[in-house]
Amino acid sequence: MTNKPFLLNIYWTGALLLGALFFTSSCGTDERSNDTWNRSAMLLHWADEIILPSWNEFYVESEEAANAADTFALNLDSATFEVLRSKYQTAYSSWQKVSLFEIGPGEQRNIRLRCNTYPTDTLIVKGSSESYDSNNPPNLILPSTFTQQGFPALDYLLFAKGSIKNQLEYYSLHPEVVGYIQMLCSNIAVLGNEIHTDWTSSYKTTFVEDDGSSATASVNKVANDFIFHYEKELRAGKVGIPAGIWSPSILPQNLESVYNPEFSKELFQVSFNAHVNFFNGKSFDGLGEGPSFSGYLDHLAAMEDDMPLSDAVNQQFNESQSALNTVSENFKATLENDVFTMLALYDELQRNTIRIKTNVMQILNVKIDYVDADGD
Amino acid sequence: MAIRGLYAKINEPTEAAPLAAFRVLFGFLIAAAMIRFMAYGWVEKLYLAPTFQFTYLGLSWVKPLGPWTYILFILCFVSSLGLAIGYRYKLSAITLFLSFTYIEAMDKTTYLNHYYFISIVALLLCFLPANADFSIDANQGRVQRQYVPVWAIVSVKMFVGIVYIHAGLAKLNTDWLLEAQPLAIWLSTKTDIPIIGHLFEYTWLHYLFSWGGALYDLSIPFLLLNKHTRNISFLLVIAFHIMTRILFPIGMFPWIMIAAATVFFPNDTLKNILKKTFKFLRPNTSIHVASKLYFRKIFVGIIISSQILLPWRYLLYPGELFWHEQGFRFSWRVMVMEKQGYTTFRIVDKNNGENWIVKNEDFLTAFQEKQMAFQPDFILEYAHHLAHHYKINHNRDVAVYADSYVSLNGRSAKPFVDPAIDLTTRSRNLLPIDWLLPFNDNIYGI
Repeated sequence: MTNKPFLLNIYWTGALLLGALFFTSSCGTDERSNDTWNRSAMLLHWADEIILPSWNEFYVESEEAANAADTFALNLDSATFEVLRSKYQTAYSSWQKVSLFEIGPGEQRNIRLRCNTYPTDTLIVKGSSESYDSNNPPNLILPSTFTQQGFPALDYLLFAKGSIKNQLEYYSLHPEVVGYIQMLCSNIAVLGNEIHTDWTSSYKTTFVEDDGSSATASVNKVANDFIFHYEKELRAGKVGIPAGIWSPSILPQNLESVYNPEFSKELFQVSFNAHVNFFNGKSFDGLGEGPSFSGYLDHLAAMEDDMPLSDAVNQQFNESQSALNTVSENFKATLENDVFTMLALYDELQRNTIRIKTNVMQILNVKIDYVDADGD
Repeated sequence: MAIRGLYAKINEPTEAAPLAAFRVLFGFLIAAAMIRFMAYGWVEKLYLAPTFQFTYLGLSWVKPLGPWTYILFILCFVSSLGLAIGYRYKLSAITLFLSFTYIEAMDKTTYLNHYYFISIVALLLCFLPANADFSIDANQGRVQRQYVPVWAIVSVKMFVGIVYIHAGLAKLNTDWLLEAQPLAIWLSTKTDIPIIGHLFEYTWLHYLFSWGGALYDLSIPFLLLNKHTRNISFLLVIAFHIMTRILFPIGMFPWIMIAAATVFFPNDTLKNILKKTFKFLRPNTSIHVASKLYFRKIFVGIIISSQILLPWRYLLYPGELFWHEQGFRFSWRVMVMEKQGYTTFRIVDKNNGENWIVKNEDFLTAFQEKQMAFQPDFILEYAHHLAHHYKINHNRDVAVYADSYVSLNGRSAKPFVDPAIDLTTRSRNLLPIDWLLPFNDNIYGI
């Protein structure tokens, strides 16, 4: 009984404090808009304007490459071979735009490992292509075969001998290799087609409807994939590993497109652009922009010191582009002659890795989705 | 005289129902937690998959036991059931304490305050006569006295109170109160919660939750102690912890804290509930005498006082606690900061100058890497492990430098470890760390 007035006081004080809080916070200048960030609108934009068009292009281009391989097989001459090389390059470029979007149907099929595991295992590729029997093809679904398929294997088979003349001579000595090339190209095309079909027929709905904030919801998964891809594929795979960041010396043989190194910078550039565009919600056709991580960060009024965090990320993307501009088309030549420009590019990419993995992750409240342990 | 009176009072015999109810709830919850842990595949994922474990200072001998680790979990499960029904109580409580604590000590990556809470409760129960009533032991006549001394119940209430109050005190800092951090970060993206989700967009709600949370932690033990406010505050306990369950992935913690709050209920209420639910555990005879338990009282006193003191050990360390984290664990600082780190290690061969950066994923799981990246003791232990690895497997004498960035409570990431210091020159101990860069900001408060 004696406690009652005291407790009443506690409640009154609490209520007053809370009241004061309501008052001050509603009076305070609040930079952020109070509309709810529409996660499903963001997912819909990503799906319709970026991810689906990317897979569509990849499927079309990989089909073209497969057709070019078939045409070449019928007529082993330099004209059809040049078409094949060029269609392969276009398909490889368009691969760089979907590699980021493995989520869902792509993941089910291990698409990234199947399309772009490099360095390729040249011994195995040579062995199984020269003894290729279309009635008894290797089972490319097996993880053990990831180093003998995809674009890196094609890179070896289409470019390792150097000139067109040498390549054609090689194919006439080993006609089975052409069959192997056809098989690899058609495999990529089939995968591209399946994934594109899955996205349009059902996965898009699943993707857009899973609009929560949990670790397994779409936004969190895409954020994880984006960070993972930027860090491991773009920064490490294309630049850091060959530049010897994680080894006592450089590893040029680990470059992407190592047998056609003139093409390596192009591949990097397309992948880099895909990251920048996705971060900013730029549509695949380049015409529009929509809700994105950048927009979400702005909505959450995220700052890095005195600058909006999204601007800080974009500024660093620009720095990375400037560093890239000083690297020659041929990453291999750059590595061997002027490794420091490559290391400078790595450093610029690294700055955003740190920023994204700390500041951006923190604000977007991204959970690492491959860990589902409790917190407290 | 007053002290003597108090002393006499805490030794008075009383109904054992609150202890029995606590024992039953706690035992069954731990059993459920063990099943959950195994069913999620976490034994494999968190303890067997990693090739390296982050250990506690002085406990580096505690390691996962390969497939036998499952036996530990089963032992823990069985002993928690034994505890719940009060069968061979002392053996059950000691087995539970040892097995659970061993599990937690295997890798500090998985440290959670509520796991620590469970360990301390299990330790406390080793010294409390919680099988006096409503237990197989009592039912089968292994326990002769159905009453317990008052202090046995008070000690549990005190411990629960200590947890809440320290959790509340830890929130009395400028980040929590004036910036509503880290709740502002955590709540802002929770807009998908049904019904109230859209409110999380509003800054005032972040402040309301921050201030409300601090007020709740600081006042709830007193509200539970007072008979006029007990019922309403128990509803508050349920509401609060269910809210945290909805908002955050915190596993069993809410249920454990709700269960713990029942110890504040009066003897009769709990006794009536137990009579209805666990009648078969009633002893046939009823002897209204309590053991004196002199020695056990001393141990319980030591446990309780250490719980009051340990959270304050951070005062022995200079600098910002949230930055250096010396004295952060085992202090009931529950969900008071959001920290993200990015830490890589450069290895330099001391003989030929060759150098390279370590791929953390070659040594750590994603979860370990995430936890390592912002906790200094993890960084140092891992650096030592790397040096050891290159010595043993490559016969290289190496220096290890960390390149580390940490963001705290919404601040942008700042350099964390002094990149010029070879971490192999520093040893693991309790002395203040001298190889971190300063925080260069201030968080005022407790």
